[in-house]
Amino acid sequence: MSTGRLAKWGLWVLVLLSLALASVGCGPEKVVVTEIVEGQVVEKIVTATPASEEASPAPDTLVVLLPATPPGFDPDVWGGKFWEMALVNVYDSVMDYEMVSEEEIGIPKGTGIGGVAKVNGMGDEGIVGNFFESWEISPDGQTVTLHVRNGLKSYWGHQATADDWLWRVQRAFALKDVGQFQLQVMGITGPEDVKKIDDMTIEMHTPRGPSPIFFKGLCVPVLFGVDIDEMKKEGLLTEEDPWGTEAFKKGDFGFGADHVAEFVPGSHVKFVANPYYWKGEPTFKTVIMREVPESSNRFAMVVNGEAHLTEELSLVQKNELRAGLGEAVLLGLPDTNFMLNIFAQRSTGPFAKKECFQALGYAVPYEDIHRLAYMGFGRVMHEAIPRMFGPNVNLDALPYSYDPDKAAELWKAGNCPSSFRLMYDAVIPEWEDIAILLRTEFAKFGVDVILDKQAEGTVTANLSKHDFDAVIEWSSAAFVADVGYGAWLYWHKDSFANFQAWYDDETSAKIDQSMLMLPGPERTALLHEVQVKLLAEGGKLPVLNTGWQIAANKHLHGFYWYSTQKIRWFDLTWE
Amino acid sequence: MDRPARAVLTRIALVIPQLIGLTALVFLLVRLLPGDPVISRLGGVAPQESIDNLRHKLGLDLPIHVQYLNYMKGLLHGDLGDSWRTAQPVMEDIKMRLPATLELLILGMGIAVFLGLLVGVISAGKPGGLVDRLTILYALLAGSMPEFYIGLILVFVFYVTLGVAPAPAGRLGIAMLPPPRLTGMYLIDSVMAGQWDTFRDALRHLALPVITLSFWQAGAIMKMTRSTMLQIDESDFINYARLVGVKPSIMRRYTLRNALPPIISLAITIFAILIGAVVLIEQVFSWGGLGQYSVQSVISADYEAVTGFLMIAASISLLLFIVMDVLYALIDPRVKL
Repeated sequence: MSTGRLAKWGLWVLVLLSLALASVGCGPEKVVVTEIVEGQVVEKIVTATPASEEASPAPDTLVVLLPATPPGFDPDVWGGKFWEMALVNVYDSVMDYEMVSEEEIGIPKGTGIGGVAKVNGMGDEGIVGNFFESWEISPDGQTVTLHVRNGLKSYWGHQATADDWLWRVQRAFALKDVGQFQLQVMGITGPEDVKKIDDMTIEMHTPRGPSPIFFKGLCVPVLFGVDIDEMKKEGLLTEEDPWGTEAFKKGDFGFGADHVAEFVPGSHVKFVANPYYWKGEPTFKTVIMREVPESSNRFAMVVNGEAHLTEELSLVQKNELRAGLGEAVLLGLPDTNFMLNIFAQRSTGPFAKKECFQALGYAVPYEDIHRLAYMGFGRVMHEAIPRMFGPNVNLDALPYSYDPDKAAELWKAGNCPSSFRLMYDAVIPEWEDIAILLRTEFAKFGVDVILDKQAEGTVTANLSKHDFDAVIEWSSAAFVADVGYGAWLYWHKDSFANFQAWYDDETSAKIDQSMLMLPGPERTALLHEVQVKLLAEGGKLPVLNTGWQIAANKHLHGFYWYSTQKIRWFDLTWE
Repeated sequence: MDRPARAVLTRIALVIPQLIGLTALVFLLVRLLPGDPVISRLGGVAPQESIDNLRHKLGLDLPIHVQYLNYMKGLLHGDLGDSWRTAQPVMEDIKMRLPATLELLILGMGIAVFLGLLVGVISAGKPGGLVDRLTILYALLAGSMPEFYIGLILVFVFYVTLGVAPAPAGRLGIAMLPPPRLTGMYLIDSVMAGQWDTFRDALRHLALPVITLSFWQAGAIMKMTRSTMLQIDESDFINYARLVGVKPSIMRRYTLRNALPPIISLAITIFAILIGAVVLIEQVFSWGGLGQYSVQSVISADYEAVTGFLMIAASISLLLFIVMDVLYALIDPRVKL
């Protein structure tokens, strides 16, 4: 065959292939929609409605894009933030905070937020029941009798009972993971502290003393009732696997608003509405949580309207959405319980001396970091624990402000070394900006800041091993919205999250004392005193309250802020 | 023993020591990765008791040589361990994802080879001509850009700006059901099931990643085809054929046939390399194949998944190189095995 003929044939093949590829884009797309018919969730295949149609009715399916799918739905095996997002929707938390305005908890108004959790209450103030609809507290505060909600049913129509909760508590202590930790934090020392009174009543006892965070602990979505009737019916609780760990890898057995209908790890999770959910019928009968690792793709799909919700965008992307773009808007709060900190290791190394840590406090250019590195998102933080946690937060405790002369003076007085390593996560570009700003500040008085960029896993491991000089890292001010608990978590000498290795017996004793006191002026005064010491020497320097930002379709409403910053799809409506 | 049988057996005999070396290397390399997989799995705020329990459960508190022996024992039974990220056996994860990667690779390479050969032949037919100059320019461009960058540009142009391509969110539309699984490759499975809507949707979603892959690879094949064809064109036997008046079309056929061995070698080598290189393309297009699985596993310090992926990828590459060696020896009698 001649070259010319070969080329002609080749070109024809190319043309036909191109036409074929182009033609496959034509014609209506078929999609699967879900409806609730007579209490049953049914699926059918219909012709899709193009996403670009204006004034379209609410889509049947809410599409949520995230960098990764969760590793399962086991409430006792911690699985990261996307696991948390799935769990709050399939299980509900046992209790919830009442939804109030931003003003009521002392924070500025957000954008597109329908309400915020009343995290500044004391004891059971501002707490509403989910799994448990009502309760009584004994006079000494150590025993709480809880009543399971009548009409709370799982996806299979089983009424929740006391056994569902009791089994869950026993499981938590047996598996010794997230669930056990949460119960112990609340003052429950073992399964013997939880008793079934009757089919719908549970009694919980805190033997060490009254727990000021008992109810707030139940608001954290890691403790849930589980439909063990269904698990038993399906034969999922066996001698080899009495706690159903295999079953929870693939699905849920919750009483929440949604149920896992399909799970393809690394690809997507499909949730369908619980037809028996006690709060009623949701706007979206189906939710698809899809793994899309690239933030630029997630951004593009929400702007285009093909997806409705996403998180984990970069600051640059969020900034582009501030004024709205395409179908997407940026919603959120400027002030929440998520903080950016600089941890300085206080046991060994350059910051073991108090003066060196204090110099760091004065060297940080807080306003520049907020304006330049964080593009104005969030706010500069002036307190150890976010102010939204109520009157127990000492708003005057922070001694530092940007003062490079004072920083230089303290650094010299402390005879601090001429260099130190500043570690940060390589994946977060704004943290490199912060590192560079700090390096510039310290260079003014002759100190060399060695920028130590590391993978996320390395940063986490080094934090746990206290193998760092200083590190830029974010933290949540504890999902249990209590100052005493936050102080315990990040500063107590026995806490595993005391990354800065600051071991102060006196302060730890005061924190312990506060965790066995009922809410009141005495506890408030003690915590105020503790926060002064924490900020002066504690090794964890608050820099920014990073706020909360989510990219969502402009027709979506019903966003509420919960202490875990996870969205409940049931809340959402379409307008 | 005849030459083909000897070629195959000689090569296969080398596979076992190669595989043993491979497992040791992969096992050690993964354990050199920064980060602590137990802390990554539990999060930075896990109690020490939980960390110790999990470390013991995973056998990570054992000496490294014991860990390796345990791993090899599992490997002999086809057990690559469990991924903590997917909560599934790694072997199951790989079985589920491998077809997605292969579908992408086979189509991408097929188009790259076809285009590379076609344009390379045309280009070699008239050196210095317009097609030849454009080919050189294209090969230069394709080779100088990383593949994921090409992918992102295509997404930006065809999806974001022009709106003609589907969203880069996997192999099918968000609400589309996959076809009944036979091979795991959606094009084949949808045809077998008679689901033409699914076939069309799968083809639409394949377009951009396949173009990315083939654009990137066709350049190298084009260059190799062109230079080999030109080289053989100057060889003695072609000159003789020209002198005795053999028709140009027949001469071209002889030239191409003789140029094929190095081109085939290059194509197979590229295919073997692509098993690893496709990871970033899959990441850009959320493909759900082995590549995306491996990236997410590295980020999460999921030891078992990373080791499993490396083992499979390296084994496939090894197999391809063996095939290449054998083919080469069979085609060219001068090559000794």
